[in-house]
Amino acid sequence: MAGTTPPNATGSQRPDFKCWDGVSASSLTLALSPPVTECVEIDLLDQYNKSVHGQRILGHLSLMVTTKSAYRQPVGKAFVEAMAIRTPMPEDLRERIYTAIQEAMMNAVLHGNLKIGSGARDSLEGLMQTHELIERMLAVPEEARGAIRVDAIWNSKVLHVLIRDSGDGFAKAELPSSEDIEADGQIASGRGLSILEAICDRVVLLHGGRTIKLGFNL
Amino acid sequence: MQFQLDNNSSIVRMSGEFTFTDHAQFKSMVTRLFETKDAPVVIDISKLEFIDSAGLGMLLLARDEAKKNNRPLVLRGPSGQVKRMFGVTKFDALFDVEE
Repeated sequence: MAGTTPPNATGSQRPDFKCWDGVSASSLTLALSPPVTECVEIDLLDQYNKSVHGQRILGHLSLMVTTKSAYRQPVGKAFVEAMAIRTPMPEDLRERIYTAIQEAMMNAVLHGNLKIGSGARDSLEGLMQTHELIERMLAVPEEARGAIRVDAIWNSKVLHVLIRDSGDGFAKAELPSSEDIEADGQIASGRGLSILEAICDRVVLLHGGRTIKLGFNL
Repeated sequence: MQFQLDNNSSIVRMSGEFTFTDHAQFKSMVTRLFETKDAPVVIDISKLEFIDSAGLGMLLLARDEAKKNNRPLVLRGPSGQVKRMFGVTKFDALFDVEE
């Protein structure tokens, strides 16, 4: 099995593995170019090497990035573009997948890894304070280096995207329902999960809410 | 996200992708927009290509500013993914949306 041995620091042992420098969207696009199936941000390489790697499968693309990069770089967009190179998808589906990954990635950054609630963004002042808090947290190396992993697995009929954060997880019952949000009409945040349920064909929370599995019919 | 606001105009044109990290641009846009007086505020989103839930949340904050300033607020010309997100979240019922 070619993929069971972790690569060295440069990733040069395996053509299907690349490290991303975390610098820019264009360097991420390059790192995700075929034949790569696994891409890891350089700051997470130690963590990646310690994790268990399964057997490589067809129709798979995996990316592991830091909280800092997920916040600062258009990671979701680059990932969807990389998927679209590997498996044909109509524009409407590509748009839904991009929308879903963007929502899930931001949930992973904010609520998963940084453990920031939604309510603070319900005013203009609160919104700015939230981003100031994020910047302060990302100045702490341990916070900035929290991992977020995105996996896409597909065959001719379905595509699944799994997004895993390093947080404590959550229970769906803790969130406001879409009915609550609609009835209120004032809540400026907290719509992420109801959007996911509306645009994906299936949404499943796994590992106590630390992983979200998004399913799309192809 | 980019925005274009002519001097003393209460019509702003947004373009590009409006997502979670556009908060500073958004704040600047709202501040300048509500410095104008005595006219309905129009946010032209016909050139906006993509919006996420955080972008939608920021539009709600713009609506709050309009209420505080006693100014009507109109969202003009949603299309593509933005229009679909409005449908999913029933935003059409929360705003005065012009096609």
